[in-house]
Amino acid sequence: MPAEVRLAVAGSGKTSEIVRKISEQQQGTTSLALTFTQFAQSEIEARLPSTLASEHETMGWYAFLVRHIVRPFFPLLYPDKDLIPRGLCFIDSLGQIPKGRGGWKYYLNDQHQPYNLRLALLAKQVIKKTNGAPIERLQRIYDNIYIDEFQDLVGNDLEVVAALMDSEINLFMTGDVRQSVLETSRSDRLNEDYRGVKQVDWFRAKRDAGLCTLVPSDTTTRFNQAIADFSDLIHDPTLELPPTSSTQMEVTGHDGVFLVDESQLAEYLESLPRRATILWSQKSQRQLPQGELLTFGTAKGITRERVAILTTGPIVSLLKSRKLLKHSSASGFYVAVTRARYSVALVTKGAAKLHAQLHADFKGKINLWSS
Amino acid sequence: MITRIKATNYRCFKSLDFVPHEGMNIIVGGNEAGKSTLLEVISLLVGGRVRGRWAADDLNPYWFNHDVVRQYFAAHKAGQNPALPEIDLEIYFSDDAPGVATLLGAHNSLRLKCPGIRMRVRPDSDHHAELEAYLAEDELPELLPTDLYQVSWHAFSGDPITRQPRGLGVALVNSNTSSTHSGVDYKLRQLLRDFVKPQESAKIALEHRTSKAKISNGILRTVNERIAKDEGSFGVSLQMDQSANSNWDTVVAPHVEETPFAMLGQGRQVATKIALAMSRSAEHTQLVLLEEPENHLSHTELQSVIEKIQTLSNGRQCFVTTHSSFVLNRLGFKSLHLMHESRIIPFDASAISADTMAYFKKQSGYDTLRLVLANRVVVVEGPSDEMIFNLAFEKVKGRSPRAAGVDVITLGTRGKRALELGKALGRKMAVLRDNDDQEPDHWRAPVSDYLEDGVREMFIGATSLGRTLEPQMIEAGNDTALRILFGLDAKDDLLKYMLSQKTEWAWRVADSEPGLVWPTYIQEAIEFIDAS
Repeated sequence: MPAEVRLAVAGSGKTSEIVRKISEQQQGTTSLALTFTQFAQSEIEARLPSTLASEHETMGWYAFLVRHIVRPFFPLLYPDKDLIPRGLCFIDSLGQIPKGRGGWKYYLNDQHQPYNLRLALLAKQVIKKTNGAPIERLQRIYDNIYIDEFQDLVGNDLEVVAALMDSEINLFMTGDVRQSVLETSRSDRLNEDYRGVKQVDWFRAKRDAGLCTLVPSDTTTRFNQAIADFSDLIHDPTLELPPTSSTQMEVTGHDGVFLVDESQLAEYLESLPRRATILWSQKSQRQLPQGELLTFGTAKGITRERVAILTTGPIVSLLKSRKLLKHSSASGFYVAVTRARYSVALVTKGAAKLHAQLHADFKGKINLWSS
Repeated sequence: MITRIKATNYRCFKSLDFVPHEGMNIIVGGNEAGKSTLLEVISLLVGGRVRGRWAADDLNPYWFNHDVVRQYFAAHKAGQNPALPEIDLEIYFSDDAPGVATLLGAHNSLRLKCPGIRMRVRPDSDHHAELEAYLAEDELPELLPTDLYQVSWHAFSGDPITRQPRGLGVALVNSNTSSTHSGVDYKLRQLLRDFVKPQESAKIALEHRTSKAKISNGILRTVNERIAKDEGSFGVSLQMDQSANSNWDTVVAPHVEETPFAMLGQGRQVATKIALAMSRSAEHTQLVLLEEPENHLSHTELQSVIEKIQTLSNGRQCFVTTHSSFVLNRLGFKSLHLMHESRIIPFDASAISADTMAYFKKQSGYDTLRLVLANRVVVVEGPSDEMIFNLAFEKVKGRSPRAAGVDVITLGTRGKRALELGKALGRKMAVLRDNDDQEPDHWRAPVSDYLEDGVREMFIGATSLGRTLEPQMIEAGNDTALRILFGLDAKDDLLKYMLSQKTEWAWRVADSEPGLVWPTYIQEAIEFIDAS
């Protein structure tokens, strides 16, 4: 059975879907849920009922690669080494690995901990060298594997995913390519063409090869249609991602996307029944107002009634001319916009002027706020 | 299913590599041959315990093979700086066995892609400095400092194991009847616990605690109030024991037909344990280890136990050690492994030719067992040869062959089969036979592969002295003595008389024990087999 890949939008209940599927598993079924972040893992665990008929385990992606892909068959890669890879050596850049480490030391530190940035590469090597022994093993342990937030997987991770797709395991993946704000490895250069939102093309290629089905899950229950329409304009239009529709119909009197002049921010915040959460990119350093403050990156996974986003130069360019944001900036901005249930304020200098200069695609979708 | 067991440097095993059969495995061997240690290795690898204790708690210098330790200290004293001995135990499972998928990996000494479990005992790298200091001491006792060793227990997947892997059931039934007061040892308790579902266990635990609390708060309170009034009572009060050693599973005792387990005869205890182990569904116990089921059992009990083992062994892999030819005969030769001096000799084509195997399979288990269990074997052709040899031995050596540790077995003309088995087992063996008018070398040639000077030899009378035992006896210088014994006079044909009497003559010789001269080949055989 080909893997099922859900191309979800923000607020479409990705995790709920996985939790529902796990809860409905029959007795005797074994399953594994994988996701990159600790946050997403505890999210799944917290939502699962305390007693399940089936046997289920939730695991982080790195732990999965170590325990189920690399460790069992590592000796077949280095038959003369009597060692068991354990744990993880977490580094931020390849520069932190001392030079001149060859053979097994290319992948592991002296305590036999795999370097996180080379873990997926090692995983791929093990799969290749053993003709897929780890996948065969997983097939015998698990009936179902769920991957949540697949957009965090990059480079060689995708090769492991491809191997899972090509197995007897029922693979169900869900994620939102528009929210690629995290990556398992920034240094993994494989599948570079499928970085960020373009990952959708990788899945499309797998679909064309018969390895998976792509099911858009494009209905959000979180934010209203005005925000949905705006969010659809953030990423590269040539990717032809399906438009988002909303079932969130609540009318509060201040709904949709607004341009707010920086000088009026305090006034704007005061005008709302409850203060908006301020979202800012690390690049937009400036005087920050009082209230809940979150960066784009840390906002992932949360929901607020209203947000006010401190715009950056590239965001302004996007609004004026639809000049594409870099993939990570686009994802960050998309995450920021899609946090709000009712209203998104884009805070900028010269809001009125910008409003007049908005690109045709944005005209009528953004209102100018004034006191 | 276990496909292979390897044990290095563990107790009597310097280097064991055992390939068991799929279903039934009967392991036969003398005392101290290592049979129990083999079962111990299996249950240690699967359950992590030995003699009821966790491996790391039980670890002591005697875990290590004596010879290996001795060699180590000899090399150490000679300043060769040898590596400290390590124990390596491995159990390989077939790929399709249930419940073993998570054990699949290549962390084994053979670097095989296989499910399995490995236990290693190695010097603890955290104690490197202490070890160095210890070994630098003069006058070291010849014992390894196992307190500076570490036990690692992991699956072939590399995952550490902390308790018996789920889905891998093993039932060990040893014939030691329990010494604890309830008669319930941890193995039996394990068997019993499997009858109780976790939810039920929780409920029993709760009600057990509650009822204990009820007694403490009820009648015992009255008692305690009275004690308290006594000024010399030092605050003593009586409470129901709520500590761990009074958990419900330690006070629930199995009963058989209303009789508590501990009150059963030893035979019934063993039979009950076997029945419990075998009654659980094959899914729970794929492995059954039975240690000498014949112990403590009457013949009829044994018979019914064997029947149980046979009918219930379907789908399970059984390892049965035994001394009993009855057990062996009933459970079948095709599952036989011979164990000798901590080595396992498979009773199959890899060690023994197919027709010899077929011969022993037809043969009664009794004779085969004797061949396997005896340290020194004399094989003779017929009952007369046996009686005469026994008598000769006793007269020459002043004690019976049995007392000298020599087993005399009548196997007809199948000395070749015995020699082949003897070679496989590394046994000392003398084969006596008639020359049948052929030169001795005519009979030695076909079995020359199995003969070895001083270890396995053939003893055959010279052709000039007659073709069978009877003329050989006469020619040895016993003509007169035998005529007197049989009441024959000079004109009677002594040889014809003896040949016509078959074994009767030998019986009369053995019965009256006249002073006789023994044929040279018999004398030589006696000296050969008695030499150490």
